[in-house]
Amino acid sequence: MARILSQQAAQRAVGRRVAAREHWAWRALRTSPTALAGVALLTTMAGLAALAPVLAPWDPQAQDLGRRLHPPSWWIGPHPLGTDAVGRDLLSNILYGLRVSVTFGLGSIAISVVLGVAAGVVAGYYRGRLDAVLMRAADMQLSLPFLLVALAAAAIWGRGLFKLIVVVGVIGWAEFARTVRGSTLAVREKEFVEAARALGALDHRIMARHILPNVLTPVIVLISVTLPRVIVTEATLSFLGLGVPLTTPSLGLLIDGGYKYLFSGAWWPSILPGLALMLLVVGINLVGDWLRDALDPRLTRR
Amino acid sequence: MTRYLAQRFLQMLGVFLIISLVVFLLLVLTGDPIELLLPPASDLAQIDAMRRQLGLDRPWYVQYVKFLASAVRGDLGESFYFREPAIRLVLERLPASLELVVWTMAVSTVVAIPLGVLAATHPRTWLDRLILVGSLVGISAPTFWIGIVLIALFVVSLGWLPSSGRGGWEHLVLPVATLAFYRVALFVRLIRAGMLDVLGQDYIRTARAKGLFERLVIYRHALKNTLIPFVTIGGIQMGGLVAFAVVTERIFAWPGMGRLLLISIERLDYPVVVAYAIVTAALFVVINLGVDLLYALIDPRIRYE
Repeated sequence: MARILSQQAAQRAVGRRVAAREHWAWRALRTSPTALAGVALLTTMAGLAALAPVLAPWDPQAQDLGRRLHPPSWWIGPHPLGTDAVGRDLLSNILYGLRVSVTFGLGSIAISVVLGVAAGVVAGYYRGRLDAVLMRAADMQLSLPFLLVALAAAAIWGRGLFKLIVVVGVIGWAEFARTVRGSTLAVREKEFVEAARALGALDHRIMARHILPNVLTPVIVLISVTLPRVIVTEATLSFLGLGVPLTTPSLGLLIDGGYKYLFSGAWWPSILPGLALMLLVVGINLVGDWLRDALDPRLTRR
Repeated sequence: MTRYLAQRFLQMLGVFLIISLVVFLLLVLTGDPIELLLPPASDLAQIDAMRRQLGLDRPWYVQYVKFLASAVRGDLGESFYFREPAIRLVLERLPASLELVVWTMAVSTVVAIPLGVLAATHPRTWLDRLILVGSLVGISAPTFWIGIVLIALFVVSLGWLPSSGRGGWEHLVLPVATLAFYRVALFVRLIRAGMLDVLGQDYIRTARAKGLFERLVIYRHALKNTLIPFVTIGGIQMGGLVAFAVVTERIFAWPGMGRLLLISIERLDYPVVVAYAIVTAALFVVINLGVDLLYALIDPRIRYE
């Protein structure tokens, strides 16, 4: 992934408080049609995911055995997007699948952010041996591709949506830790930190009240870069049979179940769920590009 | 230089040791392959005999030390399933995987550089926008899904290409295209951004003022300075390709080591999984070293002492 790119972009945003940039962000949104398209797309996909139980015409697990591999009837007929090999309604499964993707992405990222930010602030603030150990571990993990680490971890700790969220979330700590540590090193030398220390503030208070708020902007940028990766990782692992259990309506599982029937002419059970996944990721990427531009001081000056 | 290489070599040994220990420990904690290896009707005596034969009755640290001792001699154990040396199984399939990785890197670079330059030299035109939209789709689409779309198009609908196996170039086209899709999109974005940055700088104006041909200004002067981040990302991507090859090899039934890994995970065939991890780690070390040496080649300011 664009690890270096994202970290450079994230580093450039060091020390900028989100609030101070809001004005720029909104202006960028108003004036950029692509940013608006991204927000619209992301809102739509997230809305579909959130409202899946209301919108889905069928129970995603219900099998309509008389209509197996039924082609899409589009907006007429009982199965607008057709059915899969065991007669489950594809539209309902895609909606619930999006829900799993979004839940997975948000859950995992939340874990990565909490672990990574905590490790990064502590490492950058205290320096010394703790810093060296944490950063060595992060470097080591980052020298291996994310997907491979996730694959190994998933193979070992096994299936289950919740387990997988935790596993992928824990693996994601490294990038956040490294970025936040870099920002912390810069912020801890600032006068206001020295002032707080002179006033007798304790370490944990300085870290929580003075350092943390000033290192969060690059974290936002990094979230926008890592969220698509996390979502696609879940789909990929599920596709490989190392992800969520078969009863979970995951887009990766749907595609895995559908692609065997490609050669008998049934393209919809594998192509359509992937299309939904891609639209969700396109939405996140567009919004991410806008955020990156809005929060990157080097770009806003132009 | 020699000292630098020696240092890197020591680092590499350390990485191997840690990776082997981590993988080994995790696998020992995971589960017992015995049940999968013997027919369900086996009695306890048979299970015990099998366990002793494979050395699984010893505590984990004894197993690990034994493993290390033989690893030094190039023996990473025997596959529980194939009853063949695990390292040989992996190495036999390495060339097939490398073929995918190398071709993908070559194709992605060759396709992405002109597209990125084209987009950067025509900013805010329909061409630039088209390339950008294309690259947005490229970085957003999951790799395994791209493979399926390509099969649906070129195998099922058009019947132009085979969908599985390894053989002539026609077998290579779809897996490489699948893997290259994301990399082309990423590289295009990278080169476009780098070129836009560089093209605004003074020395480019100087080069143009000297009356150099535009093509020379762009490809000799500007492109060269966008290559450093490109090499970094390229190296990371090459490592990533080894991971994504696992997915692609499965879709296209490509006889590489990624497919072997998936099968071995399913069968709890630890020695093969460990051998895969070691070979992959070696591959990453080589790639990282190659990237570092390439820096020195591109940027004369970088020297390794």
